[in-house]
Amino acid sequence: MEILVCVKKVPDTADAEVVLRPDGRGIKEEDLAFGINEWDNYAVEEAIRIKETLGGRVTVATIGSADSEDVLRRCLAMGADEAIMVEAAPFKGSDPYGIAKGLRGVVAKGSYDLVLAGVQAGDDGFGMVAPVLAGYLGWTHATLVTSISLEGAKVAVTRELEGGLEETLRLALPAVLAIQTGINEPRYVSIMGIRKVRSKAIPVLDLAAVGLAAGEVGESANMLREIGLAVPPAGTEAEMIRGTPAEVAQKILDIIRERGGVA
Amino acid sequence: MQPYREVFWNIGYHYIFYSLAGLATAIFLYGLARRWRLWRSGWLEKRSGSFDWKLVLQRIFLNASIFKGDPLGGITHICIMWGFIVLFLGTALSTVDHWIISYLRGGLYLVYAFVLDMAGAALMAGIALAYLRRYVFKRERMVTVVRDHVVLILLFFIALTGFMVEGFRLRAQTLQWHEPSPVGQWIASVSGLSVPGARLAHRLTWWVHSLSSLFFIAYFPFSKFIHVFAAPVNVTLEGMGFNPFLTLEEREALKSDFSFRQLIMLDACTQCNRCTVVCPSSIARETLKPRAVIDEVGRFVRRKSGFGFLPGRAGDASLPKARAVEGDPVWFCTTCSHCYRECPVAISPMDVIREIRTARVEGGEDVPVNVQEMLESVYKFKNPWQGAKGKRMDWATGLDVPLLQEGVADSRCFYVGCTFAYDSRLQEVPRAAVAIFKAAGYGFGVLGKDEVCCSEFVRGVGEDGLFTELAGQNLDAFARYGVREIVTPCPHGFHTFSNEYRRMAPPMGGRTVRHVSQVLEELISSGAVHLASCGERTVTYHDPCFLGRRNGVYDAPRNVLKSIPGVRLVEMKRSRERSLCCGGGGGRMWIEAGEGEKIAEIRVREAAATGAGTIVTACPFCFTNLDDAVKTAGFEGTVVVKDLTELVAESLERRSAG
Amino acid sequence: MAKVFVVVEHRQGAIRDATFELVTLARELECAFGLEPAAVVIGHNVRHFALTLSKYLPETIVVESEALENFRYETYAAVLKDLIEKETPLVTLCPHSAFGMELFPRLSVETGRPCATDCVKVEMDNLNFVVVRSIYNGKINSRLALGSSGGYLITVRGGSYAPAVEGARAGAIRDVPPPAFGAPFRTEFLGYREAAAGAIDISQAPFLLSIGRGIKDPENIPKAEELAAKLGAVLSCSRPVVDKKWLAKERQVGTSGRTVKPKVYLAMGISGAFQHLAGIKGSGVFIAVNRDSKAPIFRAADYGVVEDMFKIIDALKEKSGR
Repeated sequence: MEILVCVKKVPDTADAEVVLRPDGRGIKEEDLAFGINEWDNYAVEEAIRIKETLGGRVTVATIGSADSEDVLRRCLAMGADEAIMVEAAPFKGSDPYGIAKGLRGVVAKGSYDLVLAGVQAGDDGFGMVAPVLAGYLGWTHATLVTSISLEGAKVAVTRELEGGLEETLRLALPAVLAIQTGINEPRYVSIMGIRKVRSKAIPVLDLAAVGLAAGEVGESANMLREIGLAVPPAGTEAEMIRGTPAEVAQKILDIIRERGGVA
Repeated sequence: MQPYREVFWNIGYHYIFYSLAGLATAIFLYGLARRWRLWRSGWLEKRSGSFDWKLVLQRIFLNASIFKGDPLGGITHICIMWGFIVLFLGTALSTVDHWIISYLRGGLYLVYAFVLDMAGAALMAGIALAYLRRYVFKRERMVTVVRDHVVLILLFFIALTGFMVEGFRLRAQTLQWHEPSPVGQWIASVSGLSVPGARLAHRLTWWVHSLSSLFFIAYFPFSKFIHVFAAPVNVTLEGMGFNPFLTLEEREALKSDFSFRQLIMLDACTQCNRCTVVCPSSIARETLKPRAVIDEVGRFVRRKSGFGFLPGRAGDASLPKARAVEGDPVWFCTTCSHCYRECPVAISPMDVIREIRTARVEGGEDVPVNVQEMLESVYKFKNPWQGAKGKRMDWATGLDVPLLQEGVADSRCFYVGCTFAYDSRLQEVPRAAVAIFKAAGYGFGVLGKDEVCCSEFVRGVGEDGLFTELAGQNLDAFARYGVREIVTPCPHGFHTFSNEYRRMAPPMGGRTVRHVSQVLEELISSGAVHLASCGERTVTYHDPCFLGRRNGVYDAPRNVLKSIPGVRLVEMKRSRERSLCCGGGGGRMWIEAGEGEKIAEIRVREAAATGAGTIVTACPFCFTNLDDAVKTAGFEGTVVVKDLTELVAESLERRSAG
Repeated sequence: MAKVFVVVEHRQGAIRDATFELVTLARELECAFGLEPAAVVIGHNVRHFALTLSKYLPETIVVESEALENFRYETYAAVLKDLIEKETPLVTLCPHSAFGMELFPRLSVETGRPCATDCVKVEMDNLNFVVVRSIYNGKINSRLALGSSGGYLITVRGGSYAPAVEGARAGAIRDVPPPAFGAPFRTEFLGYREAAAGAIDISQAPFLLSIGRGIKDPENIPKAEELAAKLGAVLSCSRPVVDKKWLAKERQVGTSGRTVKPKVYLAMGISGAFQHLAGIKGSGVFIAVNRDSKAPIFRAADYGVVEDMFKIIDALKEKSGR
């Protein structure tokens, strides 16, 4: 079983303050913590578990530069066998189509049965790369996958729907699966573990190596062009309750009583 | 004729004895060699301190550490130990006398005989006392294992038969002097045997005594008796200042699971259980018992190395160190070091537990999920609270805090610490510190957003790699800003800057490290700050393990409290070195507690029992744990928890207010 | 005349609400730019859906076949590709749901038309589309221009438009035969599965105390449980709490959890990810407590408190009589 997992390094913006750069063309990154995209982490763990059960190899790939190497090494330390870096420069500003084209080139260089990726990236949240990649490859796909069961030349998956409902499908391999969070519990990787794989070679592929020509990807080739970033309008903001915790608690209780919740 | 003892008197078949003796000795040496090889398979620690001969003298020769807290135990052991040593020396001297040069004659011989009798009596009395202590006085601490009986009864039997041999000999011999062997003489007189009868009895008991002694010699290195060698060696190494800290490169190059000293520790243990009695986790009835850990790990190591009587019995060398202790106990250690402090022979179950944690963390298995998340947070956010880097200085909003980046007089770094920086309640503490420093004109600067986690407890849970990375970042920052002194309100930072950081690069050099309580003491006593009363209050001080027991700072915080007018300080039963941990160290802030009363709740109860209305802490984890425990144990309204620095700042404010 | 298609999402015999939000958008595009809206119903025995939609839009296209009984991208994409190539709508809309996420990006490749996903606003500028998307945990809005093409595919975030109301007219219904499904299928629908049903049904609770990542530690869950008990509320949570297995899935509020319509929704330590907010409906009062003043939840709540949630929990426990 040859598995490719596509990963992305993203900033963690959950609790951080996100500030636009003065030129308005991006956000300030200095105070942000970067790491592997949460969904992709689950995908890597899932791939390694499949390998541990059925045998085979796991390769992780990213479109990144030298500072994304730590993400790849972490995946290697988790148990991936190989890592591939696709040089990011030509892909700067690429939309999901451009990214998928690059990844298609990576898939073409191997003989994979399964490609896993996270459902979406924590920064832009398109959720497109996996199904678009499947389209380019002509493979089957499934998104929001919460369980995988390999059955010979097919794979049975569960997809997460709304309202706690799930559906099961069977797909013919090769397939691209977009993995949902919570599918497993990713293992811990220690620094010592990462050090152990520090000498593993990570090939860097240029544009030609992934079968693309200049101008096929990058901002100029985008079907989705970013034309502006802005802080969302305040809109109807919440009415803020201020005071000491005791005062605030009293006001909250008053509101609750007023609105029918008995407190 | 001069008084002397004829060796082998009345005994024939010397060759049988010598063959057996030779065999026993060979087995003894073989056993010792195997033990030694096992110990030497461990990696060597480096020395950090200078030799503490006083420690060695007191512990080994005087058994001072056994007497501590248990005078009866001390007497028991010293009788057994010195009784045994003297008797052993006696036999050695006799052998020299018989084979090499006859000198045990005359007066010397009489002294010799008397001393040996007293030694034998002491040995037997000691063993009898041991049994009384265990079964009649029923010391609660005692844990009984079959092995212990074998050891004691064997010794008792050997001593007893030895006296019987002597007694029968004295009955059967007609000596021209009175041999001053009181016990022997007594046995001779009450034996009721005729001379030929005594000769027969003598011959019989001599062989019984010899064979049991030879068995003892052969059995020695394979049994609990090995502590006779292991314990003094461990204490000596301790006295020489050996320390298990390793750099990452050294750790990577390790070929064995435990260090030389840790392996000796495992054999130095006699299962006295003192460590467990003071362990906060055991006190809270969790599954961790340090004594059991040492026992389990000892068994593991012996199994793995194939140690045993039969040569060449291969152990299961594929067993990973992570399996040395089964289950959760490994994660309940708070690294308070009370076990190490209490152990009479300087064993540190805490260090052994940490070694096992390193294996679990490296393997990524059996690591509690929250610990994993904490480590991932430290890796990603450089602090364990998933706090955004941009918010690290939020505590200082509106305060005009100097940044080291901008150049600061005295190059003094006020290292805030992650918990004080991000916890909204505890942010009051660095704010209070800043207010005090400013009032005193005490120069300082902060690292600001460049400050990363001291990672003391990251190392405590076994993630040495991550610890090294973050420590390196702090050390780089200290170097970059020419920091000459570090002051921190967090004992964990204080501990690791003072200890592990000093063994890393870039070097700490002459940088001094102080806890804020030490600075407050200085500022108060020098008159740089003046304090006024904020009312009468009775307080009790909870010693943080990483300030007190692990680094010996007990007085500074107390002096500070005593200098606050209106504050009356009372001590808890367990204070200073004997202080009960709050349960927050060793990564326990992120580990789910066991069922039942929490460590912190037990501590709060103890604090409330002093009658104090305020518990004063000097550590963010202690504060959090005790504050939570005050609520969950139902002391809300009766007892309040305050940080030392806050208390001082409050007294400061009142002064300027009126 | 340029057309706008609304793909009707339905499951287990019911049309999903998000569809009607798309109707509003389609009508907007009709008013502003003169696009002709039409609904597209794909499935098996779905005529009654078409009847419903015909009350909202002037035209409803129905494509029926047994092979379309249960949704699979393979069949639905083939149907839509065929339809789009024949009818050439300028834009085709779909909810950004499990259905839309599975279908539209793939359809985009099959039809060669650009797709923009999870859009909160759709505008037109000279037959070119501009969409607004919410990124970086809802803290930044990004405007995207879609490259020029004969047709566009857009999935729309739920709750971005108000659900439409029925029109006066009844529209026309037109049947279109499905394309021939050529090669053998490579996908197979096996069935639905309810997440393990538990004893709690938060969707019926009138008062919910909801906790999120801010709870930090499973050890703190009992504190929240105690408060919920004291207040007479039912405990619910956001996704991260369930992902970590600290609370059962049945307590999750959100698109992949339960939809709730309580009289009072008290959210603590929840940042306000859209997927969570989408699960809160109705006109109850929404109070949010979060220590981050910039948390997106404050845009959705009626009342906000910027404070450490544990302080508020403690204060509420003290103040509430019980």
